[in-house]
Amino acid sequence: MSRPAPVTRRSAKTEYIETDTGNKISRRARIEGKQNIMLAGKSVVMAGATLRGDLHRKSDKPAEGEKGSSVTAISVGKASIISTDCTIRPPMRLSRGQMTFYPMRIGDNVFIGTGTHVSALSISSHVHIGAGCVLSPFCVIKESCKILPDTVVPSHMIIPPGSIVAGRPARVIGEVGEGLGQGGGGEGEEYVEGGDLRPLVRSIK
Amino acid sequence: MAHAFPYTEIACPCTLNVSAADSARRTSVSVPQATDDDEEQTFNPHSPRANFSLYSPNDLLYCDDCHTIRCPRCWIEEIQVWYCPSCLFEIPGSAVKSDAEPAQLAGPFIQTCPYCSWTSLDAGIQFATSNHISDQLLKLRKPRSQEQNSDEAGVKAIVQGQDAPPILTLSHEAHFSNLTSFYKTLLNDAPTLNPYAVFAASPGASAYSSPSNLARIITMYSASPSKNPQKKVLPLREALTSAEGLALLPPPASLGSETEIIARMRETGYFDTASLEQQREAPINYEKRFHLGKDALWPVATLLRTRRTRRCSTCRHILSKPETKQGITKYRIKLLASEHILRFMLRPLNLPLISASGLLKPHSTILYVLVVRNPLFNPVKVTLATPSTTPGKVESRVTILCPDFTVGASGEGVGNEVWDDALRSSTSSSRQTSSALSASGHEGRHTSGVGFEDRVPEAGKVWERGRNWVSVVLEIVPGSLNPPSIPLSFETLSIRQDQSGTANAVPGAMREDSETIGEDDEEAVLKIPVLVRMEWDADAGAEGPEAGHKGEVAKEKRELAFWSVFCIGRIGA
Repeated sequence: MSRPAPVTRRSAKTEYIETDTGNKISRRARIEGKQNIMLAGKSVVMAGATLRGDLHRKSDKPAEGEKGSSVTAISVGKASIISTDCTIRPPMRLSRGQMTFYPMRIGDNVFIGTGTHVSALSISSHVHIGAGCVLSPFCVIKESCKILPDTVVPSHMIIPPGSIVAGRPARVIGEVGEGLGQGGGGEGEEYVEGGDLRPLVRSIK
Repeated sequence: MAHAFPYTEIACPCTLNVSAADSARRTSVSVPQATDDDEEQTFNPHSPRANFSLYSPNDLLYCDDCHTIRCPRCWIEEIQVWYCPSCLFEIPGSAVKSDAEPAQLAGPFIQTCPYCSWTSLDAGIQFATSNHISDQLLKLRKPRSQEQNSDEAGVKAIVQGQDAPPILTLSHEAHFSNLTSFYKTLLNDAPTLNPYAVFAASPGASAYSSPSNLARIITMYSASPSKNPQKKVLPLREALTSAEGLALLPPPASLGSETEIIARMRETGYFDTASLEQQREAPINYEKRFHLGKDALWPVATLLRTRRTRRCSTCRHILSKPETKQGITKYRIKLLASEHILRFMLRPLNLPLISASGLLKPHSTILYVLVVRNPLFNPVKVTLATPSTTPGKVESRVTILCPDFTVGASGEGVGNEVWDDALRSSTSSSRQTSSALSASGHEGRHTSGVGFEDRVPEAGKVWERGRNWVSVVLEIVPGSLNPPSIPLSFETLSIRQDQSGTANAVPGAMREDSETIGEDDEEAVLKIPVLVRMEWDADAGAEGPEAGHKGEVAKEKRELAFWSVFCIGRIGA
């Protein structure tokens, strides 16, 4: 959890750079290929998080005179939080002797716990991922799931919406109660797992 | 159950209202008289039965016809649609047997596991096409099971008194089909046994479902006496031969089968044997012990998952109904308990008064702030009640500083909240949140004011108040896990230093040897049962146009009471 740096004679440097769209990116985050990473708004990338935006599919050669379109390697939705020391790496596959990378999509209100390795193909909205997890390449996590800490999700696994997943290899151990995610965002109210993460984002300074 | 302390759980009141009338009808079951003083009896969260009625508030729904919370035990689930958990393809009502597009790639296919690198070749299975896998698996099983059956085909009946009892095993399909046909013939001939079985599907179904019984009843009532003597009525019996579906466990050390298995396990190693969990997953695999070869586990298709509609079991009102359209995971109707009853949140007042290990220290007072939030549109008068010492083996003292208060109403719409946020942030001084952000992300937002930290909790006054929430302070003194016995004398005071020996040394100790409580015990968790009582005026069913014409809507006083349990933390020794 960050605190503003103590005021010294040099100009006070805050831990987070805040963009116009409300994204907060830590100065200590390790971001490669930042032009290929889209953060939708009000998302947080904490210190030590590694985002590999340089691993993207090679864009098609543009016709003469046209600008090549940028390829998005990682796109993160609104109010998502990537905690400290995570690694976000787009999934890759060796096909016909060539390594191809696939774009990774992370939805809104996704909380990724500390130290997790994320190589999933897509993570839908309102997912809560615990600390120390490993999401192997090409796994797909659907809406409103809860992944408990220290889970290893094997590659190509699809986790249906609303499941609670744990273990190595990850197994669906239950279903999320309907009330998960409710109750956050009001005044005096703390953040609720699986719910709107905006109050949490606001409180991270 | 939540993982991080502190958390709250709610006890569904359905367990306390078992009516004696229902159980009186069943003569075989004798139910102890339901005590009607459930309000006077304290809810003991440590009792083994409490586990069945405690639920996290996220799991509870609310029936607004019955005006009560509904837990998973008091609702009925109806399946809306079946879908595959992998591809999320929904199965329409009629069974889908249509074939998918023809396989593009030729060649044999196998199944592989990306996690442990098992392949179906290890079990000798190869597929010709990439779809209709279940069909192909079934076809591959038949020659195997026939080969297995022919080995034991010679032995047919139980032989009594022989030295070497025969091995009687059947393949899974043969076993199942023999047993079903046996039981069907038996049920058709058997008389009705259970007059209380109403549904035709239940075993021993009523008289009218069995054709032979119907025939018998008709002949009884017909005037002419039946010419054939009545068939002697036999009680239901079990299968006697393998044709009827009897399969014996192989006796130990018979014909070296166990020694074979042991030898094979020694060769192939531990990791090639199947765990009990894997064996029990499907009846096909009950006796399969290995991952490789002829005796390998057979791949079993994953079960389909369902989306279910939930109904209140008393009034049949729909509590939760997911969207029927494919791909949308929202709900059409969702009556959550957390939107109709109070919501609780606990946090320590001063941080942290717990020892480095995260355990609570016995006999040291800690103060917790309980935030009560009201989601209803009317103000609610709240009464909290808790016994002064917690029930259970570890006695901790709990005091609620302000047990009676009123919480304001939630405004309608988002606009109000935004205004309040803006007003509050401009007038208050910013205050660093001192609580650390844990991995699960729990954090409290404090309303701030100047000189906030200097306040002392007072009895009879609420701690803080907001538009639709109120916080009160709880004073908690955790008890010790293994207290010495009463009366305390100077001798016992010195013995108290080493608590492990106390139970033995002091005669007539309150706890016996077997009952010393370790830190890992369930009883070491500090759980506070609180009876919460809400009273509010609700607009009584303003249905129809009459409510609009009249100037006022009839107000109805409503109240709801339930037990909730606050789990604060673990007590250290």
